[in-house]
Amino acid sequence: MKKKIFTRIISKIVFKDGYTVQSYNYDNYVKLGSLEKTIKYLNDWGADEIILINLSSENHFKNIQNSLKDNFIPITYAGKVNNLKTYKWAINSGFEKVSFNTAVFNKKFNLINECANLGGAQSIVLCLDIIKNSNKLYLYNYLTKETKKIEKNYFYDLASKNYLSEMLINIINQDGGIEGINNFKFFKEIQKKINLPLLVSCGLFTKEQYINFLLETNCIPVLGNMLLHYENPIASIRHVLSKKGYKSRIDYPFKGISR
Amino acid sequence: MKIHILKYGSGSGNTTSLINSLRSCKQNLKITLSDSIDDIKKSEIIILPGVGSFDYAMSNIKKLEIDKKIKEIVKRKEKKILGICLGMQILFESSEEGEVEGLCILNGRVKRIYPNIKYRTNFGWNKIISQNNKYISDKYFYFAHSYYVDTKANLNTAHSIINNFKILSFIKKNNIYGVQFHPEKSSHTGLEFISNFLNNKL
Repeated sequence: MKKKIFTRIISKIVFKDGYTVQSYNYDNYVKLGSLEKTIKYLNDWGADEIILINLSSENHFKNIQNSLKDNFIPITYAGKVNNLKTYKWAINSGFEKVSFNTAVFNKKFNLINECANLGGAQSIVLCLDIIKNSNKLYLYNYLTKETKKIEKNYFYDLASKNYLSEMLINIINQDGGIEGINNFKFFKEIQKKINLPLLVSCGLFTKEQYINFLLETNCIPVLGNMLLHYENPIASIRHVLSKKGYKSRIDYPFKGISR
Repeated sequence: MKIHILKYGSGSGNTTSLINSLRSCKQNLKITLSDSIDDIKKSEIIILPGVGSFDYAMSNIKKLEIDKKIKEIVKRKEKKILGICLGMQILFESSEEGEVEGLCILNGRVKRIYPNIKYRTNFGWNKIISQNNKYISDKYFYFAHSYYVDTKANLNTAHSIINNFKILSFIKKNNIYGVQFHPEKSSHTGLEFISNFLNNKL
């Protein structure tokens, strides 16, 4: 008998100044191509969800908005959401969810609450940028490069707020890497104690790293780097999980979307 | 074909994906998005989208007296109505999400999903189980909701099971259709659903 359905295969796209890019530690970037095509490929490959991280110096809102016309899966917007206007723009453009990160770092919880009142808590994702230093984890502000110690109950306190529906941990200095994560304990403990899905972006590079992380922690790993180095890793992950007895929403061969 | 998407308040909410999905399913659709009764009158299909909260949607609907028009449509069976997520929930009497009365077109109450399932919000792809609807049965759709409909009304329904908990996912009664999932975000199965709805196959 097949086991429970494994949750969601979420793919991350980093967008910078008009192009999707391969990012290394959110510091160095290699141009890849058009956002519209990347979104279309992920739809066709059978991704369950997309997270779009916009790191552009100017907002490129029009470009992003136009790229969503062939997207028929849930998509989250992340990138400098520090006012109600940007939140409204994202939701009105077709984003299902909006991720707040510097607003969390700077404790702008009133803004997040205001956004939740408008679009519902199901549209709010709190993103915690984290940096790993000598095996210790610190909160990180991408814009100011400032770091903060993580208090013991930090994640539980955040998760207890009613205006969010998911948490995303983004390990900045694992981004674009190939090492993956070997110590699952940290994530497993947080996921155990919070009643929200915990998404983790931490530079998982091979499907074995991805599947181990998923099965050991119960968190939802976010696919990033792997998408650029293997031919349709989403299909491979579904295939391996299916062999392990997990149900999938897509039966292969996936015919894609008829356009 | 004229389709009207009801706007509950100041923001259009996430209706862009719905409009894109409708357009990709059928050509030459005339789609309007507003809170105008005139637009409702001129359309063949009315869609109540899944945007915002129960009280916010119902307060705006009542303020503009759109509730009366919707009830009239239901009575005359002259147009099709599709409620998506919150849009389906407001067809019922009340909700634990708020205090404002629903449209009361169908008997039942909307309840909080937690702690019946593990998380406060049910995000993800769930399989629909239906005895009599081959167009949706055994297919996976995308859900994003914190509340569910509890009803004993005699409806044509389908459900999904999350953490051993049964969630009403599809309803049909005469010209009224409701879905707890988001067809506009459910990839190819969602587009098939919309296409079947537009072509009166459901």
